[in-house]
Amino acid sequence: MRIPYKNNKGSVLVWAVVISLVLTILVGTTLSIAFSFYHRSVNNNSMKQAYFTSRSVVEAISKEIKGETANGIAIVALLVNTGDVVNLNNVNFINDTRYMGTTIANVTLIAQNVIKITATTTVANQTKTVSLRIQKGTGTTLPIGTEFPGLEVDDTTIISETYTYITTAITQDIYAQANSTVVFDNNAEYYGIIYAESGVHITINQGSKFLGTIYAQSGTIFSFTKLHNFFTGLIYVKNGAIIKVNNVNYTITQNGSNISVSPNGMNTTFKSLLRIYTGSAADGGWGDSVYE
Amino acid sequence: MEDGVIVFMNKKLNSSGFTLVEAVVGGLLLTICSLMLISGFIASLIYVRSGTEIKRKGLEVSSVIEGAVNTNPAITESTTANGILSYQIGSTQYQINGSYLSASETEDNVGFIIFTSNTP
Repeated sequence: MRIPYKNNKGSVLVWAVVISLVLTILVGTTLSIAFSFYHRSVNNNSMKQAYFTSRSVVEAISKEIKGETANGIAIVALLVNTGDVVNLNNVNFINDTRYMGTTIANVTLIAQNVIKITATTTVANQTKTVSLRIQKGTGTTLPIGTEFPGLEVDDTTIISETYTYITTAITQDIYAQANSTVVFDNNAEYYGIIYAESGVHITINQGSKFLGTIYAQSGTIFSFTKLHNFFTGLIYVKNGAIIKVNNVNYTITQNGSNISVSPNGMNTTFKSLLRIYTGSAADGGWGDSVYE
Repeated sequence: MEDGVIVFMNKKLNSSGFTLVEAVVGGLLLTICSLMLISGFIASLIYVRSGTEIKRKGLEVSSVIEGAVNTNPAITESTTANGILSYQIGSTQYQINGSYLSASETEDNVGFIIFTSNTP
């Protein structure tokens, strides 16, 4: 029988090279991940400074416009037609103690009563844009302002994105964002204001007392079984708003001095709380501002 | 005599097909790689630690800029009252007077600055 000759000579070098390659790749990968993490931390800080600088510019410009200073008047004078843009060139910070980056900024007339200020700053290749809208006249620029012109939303108002449970302990006003839920606890006694965007579901548990105001955008949903005698707060809607009450859609319209609800059949106690909003944004200077 | 030693070593080390040269070169390669591995991991660790520190300090210093109370003695705050934001519209130069608030953590040179206009 013939035994095949097995030549292992030189194999150790192959093994050494293979192991070396594997280790080099391992070290290289680890180093590159670690360096990327380090670099990201440094970039984040540059990005933060870019944000602060951009915010500084838009805030300063909005104050000039709202305060109707000579600078502000000069900008507004150039914004005649919707879509007009005023570019602020060579934005520069004098006497600053740290590098604030390179900023380009512009002011755009979005609508005849809305100005948008945008500033974009670059710090160490990191760029951040901050935009601010200011609206002429009074009233909030939050989405609810479209149906309730002139309505002011207090700064202390709780902005709720998903769920708010109202108990007696809650004293602040509540701004419920679209499609969120507001529930009145059965022992609640609430005197505040609720601003409800479209799609907000307000559940009124039996026994809850309410002496405040609800501004309900069209599309707000109300659910209850029985209203407490002290559930006497008013519910404002725009003329023509459609609100869903206990699973039925009702259209609320102004009919002379009366409020018309169609179809018939809405809970009479609830119906007596409904009011048509008649406020309007007062003329005047540039008012409320909101970051985008 | 020398030939005899080499033959002996070859025989000794060649049981699996190794030769002395192979063993020396292979061993050297592995040693270099081990050193690379160790120094590479140490460097990675330094990067990760340093990155984490810079991130933490960035958050801390930026919160001071946002108005948080500064309780860290390593963070220095300063206000420069004679700040000016200047810009041009067309060929006309405009200026807005204000002040700068800066906060920094000197060790890693992590710091931020913000301009606040004097216009009410």
